[in-house]
Amino acid sequence: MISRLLAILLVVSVIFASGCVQQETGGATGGAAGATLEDQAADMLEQELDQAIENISVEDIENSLPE
Amino acid sequence: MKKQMAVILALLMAVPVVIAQETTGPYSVSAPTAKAYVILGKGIAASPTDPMDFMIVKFGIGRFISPNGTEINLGVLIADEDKYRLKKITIGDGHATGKIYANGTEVGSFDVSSVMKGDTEVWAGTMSLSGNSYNIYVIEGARRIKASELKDKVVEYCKNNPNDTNCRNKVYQYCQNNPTDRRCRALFRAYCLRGHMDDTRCRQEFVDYCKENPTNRYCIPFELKRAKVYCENHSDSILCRRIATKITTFCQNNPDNEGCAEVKQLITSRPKLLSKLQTLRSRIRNLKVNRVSAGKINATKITSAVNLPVSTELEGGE
Repeated sequence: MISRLLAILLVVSVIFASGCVQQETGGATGGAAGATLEDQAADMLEQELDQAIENISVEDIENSLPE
Repeated sequence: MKKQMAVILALLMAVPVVIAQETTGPYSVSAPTAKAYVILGKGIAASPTDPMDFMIVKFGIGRFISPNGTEINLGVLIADEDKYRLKKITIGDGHATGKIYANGTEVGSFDVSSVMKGDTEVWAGTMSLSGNSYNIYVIEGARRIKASELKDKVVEYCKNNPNDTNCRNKVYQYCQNNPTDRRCRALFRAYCLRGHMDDTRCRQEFVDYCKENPTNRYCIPFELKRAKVYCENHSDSILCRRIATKITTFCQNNPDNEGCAEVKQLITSRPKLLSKLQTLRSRIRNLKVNRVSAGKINATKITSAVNLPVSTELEGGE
């Protein structure tokens, strides 16, 4: 009885562990789930940067020149 | 035999749990939130020895809060086509320094100071990259506060200043729907003045506000405060001379303006500031100004300082 239970548990463990390993591989190879906090922050910053510098015009450069 | 079986059984049950914890740990990352955008700009980095050796640069620094509450300063530098990360960043008032990284390896450093040129903020300084030195000039883009962000800032301000009468009636909800309301803007400026001027959104708010209210007490010292570090190290520059002359002329004619008292205080506490402009320094120091009034910065004060009427919509709002 115990040996049968042990065998079932072993099978369940293997299935569960292989699922975890697959999830890890998927996350590491790409996608947002694999991105570190630093990567995410850098992406946010880059987006903000692109939007902010879109608004820089010749007028801004003219304004910054001494009169 | 039964005992051994029980131990094996327990071990087998523990293994998946341990694996699950190890594998989900580093990958269940939720997004960080931006607390402040310190620099967002574009400019040029040029070699001091060969001006024709130059790069177009995009330069950004932000302050982020991770889901576990840790604060990190991080930046990005795009020089021509190459991307770098900026780390180990120290942010001061109108000054930033840090290291430049490519693929996790340190490849240089930067040191930039802010100066206001008219309505435009410029971050100027030096940078070393892969063994080469550059002078760097970054023009800051105009990044204004968004409605949803304004709500968060008002919430934060009101949480820290529950006695400010402008914070009543769930004002943050009103401000999200009415981001241009004058009282909401005043609340945001009050938030900015409580130690958040390193955020470009706050500075942009004051640039816009000071255009309309140039004699406001917070607008008089604004340019000098931004260029504080720059005007300590380059005090005889045209820019610093112009700022000092403008302030001195204004304050000699308007000694009662509280902004002049703040300028005087700033000059007195920082001997290096405008040190090569001693005549202007002594004119500022000798100003017969009223002392800066003590007390908390609050939106009511900021609102009343420019005679803004209390928003009637807000009273009946929600």
